[in-house]
Amino acid sequence: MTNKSELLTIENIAEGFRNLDFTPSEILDTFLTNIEQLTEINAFIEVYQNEAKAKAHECDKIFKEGKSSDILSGIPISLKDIFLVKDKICTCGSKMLSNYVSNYDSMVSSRLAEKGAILLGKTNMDEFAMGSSTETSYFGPTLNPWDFSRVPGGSSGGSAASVAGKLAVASIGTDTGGSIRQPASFCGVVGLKPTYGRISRYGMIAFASSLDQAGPLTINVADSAILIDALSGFDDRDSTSLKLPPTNCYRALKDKKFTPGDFNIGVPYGLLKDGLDPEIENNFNILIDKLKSIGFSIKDVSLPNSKYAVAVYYIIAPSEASSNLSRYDGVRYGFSQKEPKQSLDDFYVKNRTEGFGDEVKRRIMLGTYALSSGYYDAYYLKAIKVKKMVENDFAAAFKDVDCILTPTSPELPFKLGEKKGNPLSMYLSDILTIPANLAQLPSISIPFALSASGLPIGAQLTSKRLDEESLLKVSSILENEVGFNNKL
Amino acid sequence: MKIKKEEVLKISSLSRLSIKDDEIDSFMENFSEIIEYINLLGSAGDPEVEIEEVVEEYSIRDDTKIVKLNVEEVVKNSNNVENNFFAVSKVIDDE
Repeated sequence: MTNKSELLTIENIAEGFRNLDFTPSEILDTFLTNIEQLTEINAFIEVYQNEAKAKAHECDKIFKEGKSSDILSGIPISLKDIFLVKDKICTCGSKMLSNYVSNYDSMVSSRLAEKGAILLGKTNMDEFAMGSSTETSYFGPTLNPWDFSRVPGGSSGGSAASVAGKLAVASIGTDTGGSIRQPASFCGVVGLKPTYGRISRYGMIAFASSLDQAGPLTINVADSAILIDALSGFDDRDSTSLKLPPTNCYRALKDKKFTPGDFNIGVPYGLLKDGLDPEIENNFNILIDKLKSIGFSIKDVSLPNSKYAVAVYYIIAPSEASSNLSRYDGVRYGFSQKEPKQSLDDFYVKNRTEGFGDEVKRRIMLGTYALSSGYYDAYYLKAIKVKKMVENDFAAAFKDVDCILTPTSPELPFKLGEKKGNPLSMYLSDILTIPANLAQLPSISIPFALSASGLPIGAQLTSKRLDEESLLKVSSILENEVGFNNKL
Repeated sequence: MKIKKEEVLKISSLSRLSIKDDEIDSFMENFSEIIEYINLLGSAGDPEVEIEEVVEEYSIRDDTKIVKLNVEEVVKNSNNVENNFFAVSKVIDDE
Protein backbone atom coordinates (compact mmCIF):
# COMPACT_ATOMS: atom_id res chain seq x y z
CA MET A 1 0.00 0.00 0.00
CA THR A 2 2.93 2.37 0.40
CA ASN A 3 2.69 3.67 -3.15
CA LYS A 4 -1.03 4.40 -3.08
CA SER A 5 -0.53 8.03 -2.21
CA GLU A 6 1.66 8.41 -5.29
CA LEU A 7 -1.57 8.08 -7.28
CA LEU A 8 -2.62 11.35 -5.81
CA THR A 9 -5.22 12.74 -8.15
CA ILE A 10 -8.99 12.39 -7.96
CA GLU A 11 -8.98 11.07 -11.54
CA ASN A 12 -6.45 8.31 -10.83
CA ILE A 13 -7.91 7.25 -7.52
CA ALA A 14 -11.46 7.13 -8.94
CA GLU A 15 -10.23 4.92 -11.76
CA GLY A 16 -8.49 2.63 -9.28
CA PHE A 17 -11.73 2.31 -7.30
CA ARG A 18 -13.72 1.43 -10.42
CA ASN A 19 -11.15 -1.17 -11.49
CA LEU A 20 -11.12 -2.58 -7.95
CA ASP A 21 -7.34 -2.04 -7.79
CA PHE A 22 -7.83 -0.75 -4.26
CA THR A 23 -10.71 0.27 -1.99
CA PRO A 24 -11.73 3.61 -0.49
CA SER A 25 -10.85 2.24 2.98
CA GLU A 26 -7.33 1.37 1.83
CA ILE A 27 -6.82 4.79 0.30
CA LEU A 28 -8.22 6.48 3.40
CA ASP A 29 -5.83 4.50 5.63
CA THR A 30 -2.91 5.69 3.53
CA PHE A 31 -3.91 9.32 3.98
CA LEU A 32 -4.66 8.89 7.71
CA THR A 33 -1.18 7.38 8.13
CA ASN A 34 0.36 10.31 6.27
CA ILE A 35 -1.55 12.73 8.53
CA GLU A 36 -0.24 10.93 11.61
CA GLN A 37 3.32 10.99 10.31
CA LEU A 38 3.23 14.69 9.50
CA THR A 39 1.42 16.16 12.51
CA GLU A 40 4.45 18.44 12.91
CA ILE A 41 3.29 20.72 10.09
CA ASN A 42 0.01 21.40 11.90
CA ALA A 43 -2.11 21.30 8.75
CA PHE A 44 -5.26 20.05 10.49
CA ILE A 45 -7.25 21.53 13.36
CA GLU A 46 -9.40 18.40 13.59
CA VAL A 47 -9.33 15.03 11.81
CA TYR A 48 -12.66 13.19 11.44
CA GLN A 49 -11.07 9.75 11.64
CA ASN A 50 -14.08 7.69 12.78
CA GLU A 51 -16.64 9.30 10.50
CA ALA A 52 -14.22 9.08 7.57
CA LYS A 53 -13.65 5.37 8.18
CA ALA A 54 -17.40 4.69 8.36
CA LYS A 55 -18.01 6.57 5.12
CA ALA A 56 -15.11 4.79 3.39
CA HIS A 57 -16.60 1.48 4.45
CA GLU A 58 -19.92 2.45 2.80
CA CYS A 59 -18.06 3.41 -0.36
CA ASP A 60 -16.18 0.09 -0.36
CA LYS A 61 -19.52 -1.70 -0.71
CA ILE A 62 -20.68 0.54 -3.56
CA PHE A 63 -17.60 -0.23 -5.63
CA LYS A 64 -17.61 -3.92 -4.70
CA GLU A 65 -21.20 -4.23 -5.90
CA GLY A 66 -20.28 -2.37 -9.08
CA LYS A 67 -22.87 0.36 -8.51
CA SER A 68 -22.37 3.60 -10.43
CA SER A 69 -21.17 6.50 -8.39
CA ASP A 70 -19.86 10.05 -8.65
CA ILE A 71 -16.20 10.61 -9.50
CA LEU A 72 -15.79 12.04 -5.97
CA SER A 73 -17.11 8.88 -4.30
CA GLY A 74 -14.59 7.66 -1.72
CA ILE A 75 -12.14 10.55 -2.31
CA PRO A 76 -10.65 11.93 0.95
CA ILE A 77 -10.96 15.73 0.93
CA SER A 78 -10.03 18.26 3.62
CA LEU A 79 -11.97 21.46 4.33
CA LYS A 80 -10.72 24.81 5.55
CA ASP A 81 -12.09 25.32 9.07
CA ILE A 82 -14.34 28.11 7.82
CA PHE A 83 -17.05 25.76 6.44
CA LEU A 84 -19.72 24.56 8.84
CA VAL A 85 -20.17 20.78 9.22
CA LYS A 86 -23.23 19.95 11.33
CA ASP A 87 -22.45 18.95 14.93
CA LYS A 88 -18.73 19.61 14.43
CA ILE A 89 -16.66 22.43 15.87
CA CYS A 90 -15.91 25.22 13.39
CA THR A 91 -13.16 27.48 14.78
CA CYS A 92 -12.32 29.76 11.84
CA GLY A 93 -8.82 29.68 13.35
CA SER A 94 -10.00 31.78 16.30
CA LYS A 95 -10.21 31.51 20.07
CA MET A 96 -13.57 33.25 19.61
CA LEU A 97 -15.04 30.13 17.96
CA SER A 98 -12.81 27.48 19.55
CA ASN A 99 -15.88 25.75 21.05
CA TYR A 100 -18.49 26.70 18.46
CA VAL A 101 -20.53 23.68 17.34
CA SER A 102 -22.12 24.09 13.91
CA ASN A 103 -25.91 23.88 13.81
CA TYR A 104 -26.09 23.08 10.13
CA ASP A 105 -24.04 22.09 7.09
CA SER A 106 -22.45 24.55 4.70
CA MET A 107 -23.42 24.06 1.05
CA VAL A 108 -19.82 23.01 0.35
CA SER A 109 -19.71 20.27 3.00
CA SER A 110 -23.18 18.93 2.23
CA ARG A 111 -22.56 18.86 -1.54
CA LEU A 112 -19.27 16.99 -1.09
CA ALA A 113 -20.96 14.49 1.23
CA GLU A 114 -23.84 13.96 -1.23
CA LYS A 115 -21.33 13.19 -3.96
CA GLY A 116 -19.75 10.53 -1.78
CA ALA A 117 -16.53 12.38 -0.90
CA ILE A 118 -14.98 11.55 2.46
CA LEU A 119 -14.52 14.59 4.71
CA LEU A 120 -11.10 14.02 6.26
CA GLY A 121 -11.27 16.94 8.65
CA LYS A 122 -10.73 20.67 9.04
CA THR A 123 -7.56 22.50 8.07
CA ASN A 124 -5.75 25.31 9.80
CA MET A 125 -6.11 28.91 8.62
CA ASP A 126 -5.33 32.49 9.51
CA GLU A 127 -7.83 33.73 12.09
CA PHE A 128 -11.07 34.61 10.29
CA ALA A 129 -9.08 34.23 7.03
CA MET A 130 -7.16 37.42 7.80
CA GLY A 131 -3.56 36.79 6.84
CA SER A 132 -1.18 35.51 4.19
CA SER A 133 0.90 33.05 6.23
CA THR A 134 -1.44 31.02 8.51
CA GLU A 135 0.54 32.47 11.43
CA THR A 136 -2.44 34.35 12.88
CA SER A 137 -4.26 31.09 13.71
CA TYR A 138 -5.11 30.66 17.41
CA PHE A 139 -3.98 27.04 16.94
CA GLY A 140 -0.42 27.88 15.94
CA PRO A 141 1.14 28.23 12.51
CA THR A 142 1.13 25.62 9.77
CA LEU A 143 4.55 24.79 8.32
CA ASN A 144 5.31 24.64 4.60
CA PRO A 145 5.80 20.94 3.65
CA TRP A 146 8.62 21.97 1.28
CA ASP A 147 10.62 23.66 4.04
CA PHE A 148 9.44 23.50 7.63
CA SER A 149 11.12 26.81 8.47
CA ARG A 150 8.83 28.64 6.03
CA VAL A 151 5.16 29.60 5.93
CA PRO A 152 2.69 27.78 3.66
CA GLY A 153 1.03 31.08 2.71
CA GLY A 154 -2.47 31.93 3.78
CA SER A 155 -5.11 32.20 4.72
CA SER A 156 -5.89 28.68 3.38
CA GLY A 157 -2.40 27.52 4.43
CA GLY A 158 -3.57 24.33 6.16
CA SER A 159 -5.51 23.34 3.03
CA ALA A 160 -2.54 23.94 0.73
CA ALA A 161 -0.16 22.10 3.09
CA SER A 162 -2.58 19.17 3.38
CA VAL A 163 -2.58 18.69 -0.40
CA ALA A 164 1.15 19.32 -0.90
CA GLY A 165 2.04 17.06 2.04
CA LYS A 166 -0.16 14.23 0.66
CA LEU A 167 -2.44 14.41 3.68
CA ALA A 168 -5.54 14.88 1.49
CA VAL A 169 -6.29 14.33 -2.19
CA ALA A 170 -7.76 17.82 -2.45
CA SER A 171 -9.00 20.59 -0.19
CA ILE A 172 -11.58 23.35 -0.31
CA GLY A 173 -10.43 26.80 0.77
CA THR A 174 -11.65 30.38 0.45
CA ASP A 175 -10.15 33.37 -1.32
CA THR A 176 -10.93 36.98 -0.39
CA GLY A 177 -7.68 38.59 -1.60
CA GLY A 178 -5.60 35.59 -2.69
CA SER A 179 -6.16 33.14 0.16
CA ILE A 180 -6.43 30.12 -2.16
CA ARG A 181 -3.94 31.13 -4.86
CA GLN A 182 -1.05 32.46 -2.73
CA PRO A 183 -0.84 29.36 -0.46
CA ALA A 184 -1.24 27.14 -3.56
CA SER A 185 1.77 28.96 -5.03
CA PHE A 186 3.80 28.67 -1.81
CA CYS A 187 3.04 24.92 -1.50
CA GLY A 188 3.36 23.90 -5.16
CA VAL A 189 -0.27 22.94 -5.78
CA VAL A 190 -3.09 24.23 -8.01
CA GLY A 191 -5.52 26.72 -6.43
CA LEU A 192 -8.65 28.00 -8.17
CA LYS A 193 -10.75 31.00 -7.18
CA PRO A 194 -13.89 30.88 -9.32
CA THR A 195 -15.97 33.89 -10.42
CA TYR A 196 -17.54 35.58 -7.39
CA GLY A 197 -20.90 33.90 -6.74
CA ARG A 198 -20.13 30.60 -8.53
CA ILE A 199 -19.97 28.56 -5.30
CA SER A 200 -22.53 29.29 -2.60
CA ARG A 201 -21.28 30.98 0.58
CA TYR A 202 -24.04 29.33 2.63
CA GLY A 203 -22.49 28.09 5.87
CA MET A 204 -19.12 29.70 5.12
CA ILE A 205 -18.08 32.09 7.90
CA ALA A 206 -18.05 35.63 6.49
CA PHE A 207 -14.98 37.86 6.36
CA ALA A 208 -15.62 40.35 3.50
CA SER A 209 -18.84 39.15 1.91
CA SER A 210 -18.50 41.00 -1.40
CA LEU A 211 -15.12 39.36 -2.05
CA ASP A 212 -15.23 35.95 -0.29
CA GLN A 213 -15.28 32.98 -2.66
CA ALA A 214 -14.74 29.26 -2.06
CA GLY A 215 -12.64 27.12 -4.38
CA PRO A 216 -10.49 23.99 -4.66
CA LEU A 217 -6.80 23.34 -3.96
CA THR A 218 -5.65 20.28 -5.90
CA ILE A 219 -2.66 18.44 -7.28
CA ASN A 220 -3.55 19.21 -10.89
CA VAL A 221 -5.85 21.30 -13.10
CA ALA A 222 -8.24 18.44 -13.96
CA ASP A 223 -9.01 17.89 -10.27
CA SER A 224 -9.84 21.59 -9.87
CA ALA A 225 -12.22 21.24 -12.83
CA ILE A 226 -13.90 18.23 -11.18
CA LEU A 227 -14.40 20.16 -7.94
CA ILE A 228 -15.71 23.41 -9.43
CA ASP A 229 -18.18 21.35 -11.47
CA ALA A 230 -19.28 19.58 -8.27
CA LEU A 231 -19.62 22.69 -6.11
CA SER A 232 -20.92 25.39 -8.49
CA GLY A 233 -24.56 26.09 -9.28
CA PHE A 234 -27.35 28.23 -7.89
CA ASP A 235 -28.23 28.08 -4.18
CA ASP A 236 -31.16 30.21 -2.97
CA ARG A 237 -29.70 30.37 0.55
CA ASP A 238 -26.97 32.79 -0.62
CA SER A 239 -28.35 35.99 -2.15
CA THR A 240 -25.16 36.50 -4.19
CA SER A 241 -25.17 32.96 -5.59
CA LEU A 242 -25.27 33.23 -9.38
CA LYS A 243 -28.46 31.89 -10.93
CA LEU A 244 -26.55 29.68 -13.35
CA PRO A 245 -26.20 25.91 -13.81
CA PRO A 246 -23.05 24.16 -12.57
CA THR A 247 -19.94 24.46 -14.74
CA ASN A 248 -18.96 21.65 -17.07
CA CYS A 249 -15.22 22.25 -17.15
CA TYR A 250 -13.96 18.70 -16.67
CA ARG A 251 -15.64 17.42 -19.81
CA ALA A 252 -14.32 20.41 -21.76
CA LEU A 253 -10.79 19.48 -20.64
CA LYS A 254 -11.24 15.80 -21.48
CA ASP A 255 -12.51 16.59 -24.99
CA LYS A 256 -9.07 18.09 -25.68
CA LYS A 257 -10.52 20.08 -28.58
CA PHE A 258 -8.27 23.08 -27.98
CA THR A 259 -4.76 24.18 -28.83
CA PRO A 260 -2.51 27.10 -27.79
CA GLY A 261 -3.41 28.81 -31.06
CA ASP A 262 -6.98 29.24 -29.78
CA PHE A 263 -5.94 31.63 -27.03
CA ASN A 264 -4.31 35.02 -26.63
CA ILE A 265 -2.51 35.62 -23.35
CA GLY A 266 -1.98 39.09 -21.92
CA VAL A 267 0.90 40.02 -19.61
CA PRO A 268 0.63 43.31 -17.67
CA TYR A 269 4.33 44.18 -17.94
CA GLY A 270 3.72 47.64 -16.46
CA LEU A 271 2.41 46.12 -13.24
CA LEU A 272 5.30 43.66 -13.02
CA LYS A 273 8.17 46.06 -13.56
CA ASP A 274 8.88 46.59 -9.84
CA GLY A 275 8.93 44.44 -6.78
CA LEU A 276 9.31 40.90 -8.13
CA ASP A 277 11.84 38.58 -6.52
CA PRO A 278 14.58 38.21 -9.20
CA GLU A 279 14.28 34.42 -9.22
CA ILE A 280 10.54 34.64 -9.79
CA GLU A 281 11.06 37.20 -12.54
CA ASN A 282 13.64 35.02 -14.33
CA ASN A 283 11.52 31.91 -14.16
CA PHE A 284 8.45 33.86 -15.29
CA ASN A 285 10.31 35.15 -18.36
CA ILE A 286 11.42 31.61 -19.21
CA LEU A 287 7.77 30.51 -18.91
CA ILE A 288 6.62 33.22 -21.32
CA ASP A 289 9.24 32.17 -23.88
CA LYS A 290 8.11 28.59 -23.55
CA LEU A 291 4.45 29.54 -24.04
CA LYS A 292 5.34 31.56 -27.14
CA SER A 293 7.32 28.63 -28.53
CA ILE A 294 4.31 26.30 -28.35
CA GLY A 295 2.02 28.69 -30.19
CA PHE A 296 0.41 31.04 -27.66
CA SER A 297 0.14 34.64 -28.73
CA ILE A 298 1.48 36.84 -25.89
CA LYS A 299 0.45 40.51 -25.73
CA ASP A 300 1.30 43.37 -23.41
CA VAL A 301 -1.84 44.54 -21.60
CA SER A 302 -2.36 47.55 -19.38
CA LEU A 303 -3.97 47.40 -15.94
CA PRO A 304 -3.09 50.93 -14.78
CA ASN A 305 -5.25 50.94 -11.65
CA SER A 306 -4.20 47.56 -10.27
CA LYS A 307 -1.37 49.34 -8.46
CA TYR A 308 -4.09 50.70 -6.14
CA ALA A 309 -5.58 47.25 -5.53
CA VAL A 310 -3.99 46.64 -2.12
CA ALA A 311 -5.08 50.07 -0.86
CA VAL A 312 -8.63 49.51 -2.14
CA TYR A 313 -8.70 46.06 -0.59
CA TYR A 314 -7.53 47.28 2.82
CA ILE A 315 -10.47 49.66 2.93
CA ILE A 316 -13.24 47.46 1.55
CA ALA A 317 -12.31 44.17 3.25
CA PRO A 318 -11.82 45.59 6.77
CA SER A 319 -14.97 47.72 6.41
CA GLU A 320 -17.02 44.64 5.65
CA ALA A 321 -15.18 42.69 8.35
CA SER A 322 -15.92 45.34 10.99
CA SER A 323 -19.60 44.89 10.22
CA ASN A 324 -19.56 41.08 9.80
CA LEU A 325 -17.57 40.49 12.98
CA SER A 326 -19.79 42.73 15.10
CA ARG A 327 -21.95 39.62 15.61
CA TYR A 328 -19.29 38.14 17.90
CA ASP A 329 -20.36 39.64 21.20
CA GLY A 330 -20.34 36.46 23.28
CA VAL A 331 -24.08 36.48 23.92
CA ARG A 332 -25.46 33.99 21.42
CA TYR A 333 -22.25 32.09 20.62
CA GLY A 334 -18.51 32.50 20.67
CA PHE A 335 -16.06 33.04 23.49
CA SER A 336 -17.65 34.59 26.55
CA GLN A 337 -16.96 35.17 30.18
CA LYS A 338 -19.19 33.45 32.69
CA GLU A 339 -19.73 36.61 34.69
CA PRO A 340 -22.80 38.36 33.39
CA LYS A 341 -22.90 40.71 36.40
CA GLN A 342 -21.27 43.63 34.64
CA SER A 343 -22.53 46.21 32.20
CA LEU A 344 -23.53 44.77 28.84
CA ASP A 345 -20.99 46.99 27.11
CA ASP A 346 -18.16 45.80 29.35
CA PHE A 347 -19.26 42.23 28.70
CA TYR A 348 -19.00 42.76 24.91
CA VAL A 349 -15.62 44.50 25.17
CA LYS A 350 -14.10 41.81 27.40
CA ASN A 351 -15.36 38.94 25.20
CA ARG A 352 -14.17 40.57 21.99
CA THR A 353 -10.82 41.70 23.39
CA GLU A 354 -10.03 38.24 24.74
CA GLY A 355 -11.60 36.26 21.89
CA PHE A 356 -9.96 37.98 18.91
CA GLY A 357 -6.26 37.99 18.00
CA ASP A 358 -4.22 41.10 17.14
CA GLU A 359 -4.63 41.00 13.35
CA VAL A 360 -8.40 40.59 13.57
CA LYS A 361 -8.59 43.52 16.00
CA ARG A 362 -6.44 45.63 13.69
CA ARG A 363 -8.69 44.94 10.71
CA ILE A 364 -11.92 45.53 12.63
CA MET A 365 -10.52 48.87 13.77
CA LEU A 366 -9.26 49.75 10.30
CA GLY A 367 -12.76 49.13 8.95
CA THR A 368 -14.38 51.07 11.77
CA TYR A 369 -12.01 53.96 11.00
CA ALA A 370 -12.75 53.90 7.24
CA LEU A 371 -16.50 53.88 7.86
CA SER A 372 -16.52 56.41 10.69
CA SER A 373 -18.04 59.84 10.40
CA GLY A 374 -15.86 62.25 8.42
CA TYR A 375 -13.82 59.52 6.71
CA TYR A 376 -16.48 57.60 4.76
CA ASP A 377 -16.23 59.65 1.54
CA ALA A 378 -12.44 59.88 1.59
CA TYR A 379 -11.94 56.18 2.17
CA TYR A 380 -14.86 53.82 1.55
CA LEU A 381 -16.56 55.71 -1.28
CA LYS A 382 -13.23 56.40 -2.95
CA ALA A 383 -12.24 52.73 -2.67
CA ILE A 384 -15.49 51.60 -4.27
CA LYS A 385 -14.84 53.96 -7.20
CA VAL A 386 -11.27 52.78 -7.72
CA LYS A 387 -12.46 49.15 -7.45
CA LYS A 388 -14.72 49.87 -10.42
CA MET A 389 -11.75 51.38 -12.30
CA VAL A 390 -9.75 48.17 -11.69
CA GLU A 391 -12.70 46.20 -13.07
CA ASN A 392 -12.95 48.48 -16.14
CA ASP A 393 -9.23 47.98 -16.86
CA PHE A 394 -9.74 44.22 -16.97
CA ALA A 395 -12.77 44.58 -19.25
CA ALA A 396 -10.69 46.65 -21.68
CA ALA A 397 -7.79 44.16 -21.57
CA PHE A 398 -10.12 41.22 -22.24
CA LYS A 399 -11.15 42.76 -25.57
CA ASP A 400 -7.73 41.64 -26.84
CA VAL A 401 -6.84 38.59 -24.76
CA ASP A 402 -8.50 35.52 -23.21
CA CYS A 403 -6.34 35.24 -20.10
CA ILE A 404 -3.95 37.43 -18.16
CA LEU A 405 -0.74 35.87 -16.87
CA THR A 406 1.42 37.02 -13.92
CA PRO A 407 3.35 35.31 -11.17
CA THR A 408 0.95 34.50 -8.30
CA SER A 409 3.15 36.02 -5.63
CA PRO A 410 5.94 38.58 -5.94
CA GLU A 411 8.00 36.63 -3.39
CA LEU A 412 9.03 33.11 -2.46
CA PRO A 413 7.60 31.47 0.69
CA PHE A 414 9.04 33.52 3.54
CA LYS A 415 10.39 32.39 6.90
CA LEU A 416 8.06 31.90 9.85
CA GLY A 417 8.02 35.10 11.89
CA GLU A 418 9.79 37.09 9.16
CA LYS A 419 6.95 39.59 8.79
CA LYS A 420 5.92 39.64 12.44
CA GLY A 421 5.36 43.18 13.59
CA ASN A 422 5.13 44.47 10.01
CA PRO A 423 1.55 43.95 8.85
CA LEU A 424 1.88 46.24 5.82
CA SER A 425 4.66 44.08 4.38
CA MET A 426 2.38 41.05 4.83
CA TYR A 427 -0.49 42.87 3.06
CA LEU A 428 1.72 43.71 0.07
CA SER A 429 2.44 40.03 -0.56
CA ASP A 430 -1.08 39.82 -2.07
CA ILE A 431 -0.49 42.60 -4.61
CA LEU A 432 -0.89 40.31 -7.64
CA THR A 433 -3.86 38.27 -6.40
CA ILE A 434 -6.16 41.02 -5.04
CA PRO A 435 -7.12 42.58 -8.43
CA ALA A 436 -9.09 39.44 -9.48
CA ASN A 437 -11.10 39.58 -6.24
CA LEU A 438 -11.91 43.25 -6.76
CA ALA A 439 -13.06 42.54 -10.34
CA GLN A 440 -14.87 39.30 -9.31
CA LEU A 441 -12.91 37.31 -11.92
CA PRO A 442 -11.95 33.63 -11.97
CA SER A 443 -8.25 33.18 -11.30
CA ILE A 444 -5.94 30.21 -10.76
CA SER A 445 -2.42 29.52 -9.50
CA ILE A 446 -0.44 26.73 -11.17
CA PRO A 447 2.98 25.58 -9.94
CA PHE A 448 5.50 25.96 -12.76
CA ALA A 449 9.05 26.10 -11.41
CA LEU A 450 11.29 25.63 -8.41
CA SER A 451 13.68 28.23 -7.06
CA ALA A 452 17.37 27.44 -6.68
CA SER A 453 16.64 26.67 -3.04
CA GLY A 454 13.91 24.21 -4.07
CA LEU A 455 10.83 26.31 -3.27
CA PRO A 456 7.79 26.21 -5.56
CA ILE A 457 6.82 29.17 -7.75
CA GLY A 458 3.28 29.66 -9.04
CA ALA A 459 1.93 31.29 -12.20
CA GLN A 460 -1.44 33.02 -12.04
CA LEU A 461 -3.93 33.06 -14.89
CA THR A 462 -7.06 35.23 -14.76
CA SER A 463 -9.89 35.12 -17.30
CA LYS A 464 -13.14 36.91 -18.10
CA ARG A 465 -16.00 36.71 -15.64
CA LEU A 466 -17.73 33.28 -15.85
CA ASP A 467 -15.14 31.93 -18.30
CA GLU A 468 -13.64 29.26 -16.06
CA GLU A 469 -13.66 26.94 -19.06
CA SER A 470 -11.07 28.94 -21.03
CA LEU A 471 -9.11 29.53 -17.84
CA LEU A 472 -8.83 25.81 -17.15
CA LYS A 473 -8.08 24.94 -20.78
CA VAL A 474 -5.13 27.36 -20.88
CA SER A 475 -4.08 26.14 -17.42
CA SER A 476 -4.06 22.54 -18.53
CA ILE A 477 -1.87 23.35 -21.55
CA LEU A 478 0.50 25.30 -19.30
CA GLU A 479 0.57 22.45 -16.78
CA ASN A 480 1.42 19.88 -19.46
CA GLU A 481 4.10 22.12 -20.86
CA VAL A 482 5.94 22.93 -17.64
CA GLY A 483 5.62 19.35 -16.40
CA PHE A 484 5.73 20.36 -12.76
CA ASN A 485 5.57 17.26 -10.60
CA ASN A 486 5.10 17.39 -6.89
CA LYS A 487 8.62 16.34 -5.98
CA LEU A 488 7.97 16.20 -2.28
CA MET B 1 -0.23 60.46 8.55
CA LYS B 2 0.31 59.85 12.24
CA ILE B 3 -2.80 58.62 14.03
CA LYS B 4 -3.19 60.11 17.49
CA LYS B 5 -3.66 58.08 20.63
CA GLU B 6 -7.09 59.65 21.24
CA GLU B 7 -8.22 58.55 17.77
CA VAL B 8 -7.09 54.98 18.40
CA LEU B 9 -8.96 54.95 21.69
CA LYS B 10 -12.09 56.31 20.05
CA ILE B 11 -11.99 53.71 17.25
CA SER B 12 -11.34 50.88 19.71
CA SER B 13 -14.31 52.01 21.75
CA LEU B 14 -16.55 52.12 18.64
CA SER B 15 -15.27 48.62 17.79
CA ARG B 16 -16.04 47.35 21.32
CA LEU B 17 -12.39 46.40 21.80
CA SER B 18 -9.85 47.53 24.34
CA ILE B 19 -6.14 47.89 23.77
CA LYS B 20 -3.72 47.47 26.65
CA ASP B 21 -1.59 50.48 27.58
CA ASP B 22 1.66 48.68 26.77
CA GLU B 23 0.39 47.71 23.30
CA ILE B 24 -0.89 51.08 22.23
CA ASP B 25 2.35 52.50 20.84
CA SER B 26 3.10 49.60 18.51
CA PHE B 27 -0.54 49.51 17.48
CA MET B 28 -0.48 53.23 16.63
CA GLU B 29 2.70 52.80 14.63
CA ASN B 30 1.34 49.93 12.50
CA PHE B 31 -2.02 51.60 12.11
CA SER B 32 -0.44 54.88 10.94
CA GLU B 33 1.77 53.05 8.45
CA ILE B 34 -1.25 51.26 6.96
CA ILE B 35 -3.32 54.45 6.75
CA GLU B 36 -0.40 56.20 5.09
CA TYR B 37 -0.24 53.44 2.47
CA ILE B 38 -4.00 53.56 1.93
CA ASN B 39 -3.77 57.30 1.32
CA LEU B 40 -2.07 56.33 -1.96
CA LEU B 41 -5.65 56.24 -3.25
CA GLY B 42 -5.61 60.02 -3.25
CA SER B 43 -3.45 59.89 -6.38
CA ALA B 44 -5.96 57.70 -8.23
CA GLY B 45 -7.85 60.79 -9.39
CA ASP B 46 -11.59 61.12 -9.06
CA PRO B 47 -13.20 60.07 -12.30
CA GLU B 48 -16.92 59.69 -12.77
CA VAL B 49 -17.53 55.97 -12.58
CA GLU B 50 -20.81 54.15 -12.21
CA ILE B 51 -20.57 52.30 -8.92
CA GLU B 52 -24.05 50.81 -8.79
CA GLU B 53 -23.72 47.03 -9.10
CA VAL B 54 -26.25 45.41 -11.40
CA VAL B 55 -25.70 41.68 -11.48
CA GLU B 56 -28.36 40.00 -13.56
CA GLU B 57 -27.63 36.53 -12.26
CA TYR B 58 -28.39 37.41 -8.61
CA SER B 59 -31.78 36.62 -7.18
CA ILE B 60 -33.53 36.84 -3.86
CA ARG B 61 -35.62 33.92 -2.63
CA ASP B 62 -39.33 34.22 -2.03
CA ASP B 63 -40.18 35.99 1.21
CA THR B 64 -41.66 32.98 2.92
CA LYS B 65 -41.15 31.57 6.39
CA ILE B 66 -38.62 28.76 6.70
CA VAL B 67 -38.06 26.92 9.98
CA LYS B 68 -34.50 25.69 10.11
CA LEU B 69 -33.56 25.27 13.76
CA ASN B 70 -35.45 24.71 16.99
CA VAL B 71 -34.84 26.85 20.07
CA GLU B 72 -32.65 24.28 21.84
CA GLU B 73 -30.34 24.15 18.83
CA VAL B 74 -30.19 27.93 18.60
CA VAL B 75 -29.15 28.46 22.22
CA LYS B 76 -26.76 25.52 22.58
CA ASN B 77 -23.65 27.58 21.79
CA SER B 78 -24.31 30.21 24.44
CA ASN B 79 -22.74 30.26 27.90
CA ASN B 80 -25.55 32.31 29.36
CA VAL B 81 -28.95 30.76 28.79
CA GLU B 82 -31.99 30.82 31.07
CA ASN B 83 -35.18 29.00 30.14
CA ASN B 84 -34.14 28.85 26.49
CA PHE B 85 -33.47 32.60 26.38
CA PHE B 86 -30.09 34.30 26.01
CA ALA B 87 -29.37 35.95 29.37
CA VAL B 88 -27.62 39.32 29.56
CA SER B 89 -27.23 41.80 32.38
CA LYS B 90 -29.98 44.34 32.95
CA VAL B 91 -29.84 47.31 30.58
CA ILE B 92 -32.50 49.36 32.43
CA ASP B 93 -31.68 51.09 35.71
CA ASP B 94 -33.67 50.22 38.83
CA GLU B 95 -34.45 53.85 39.56
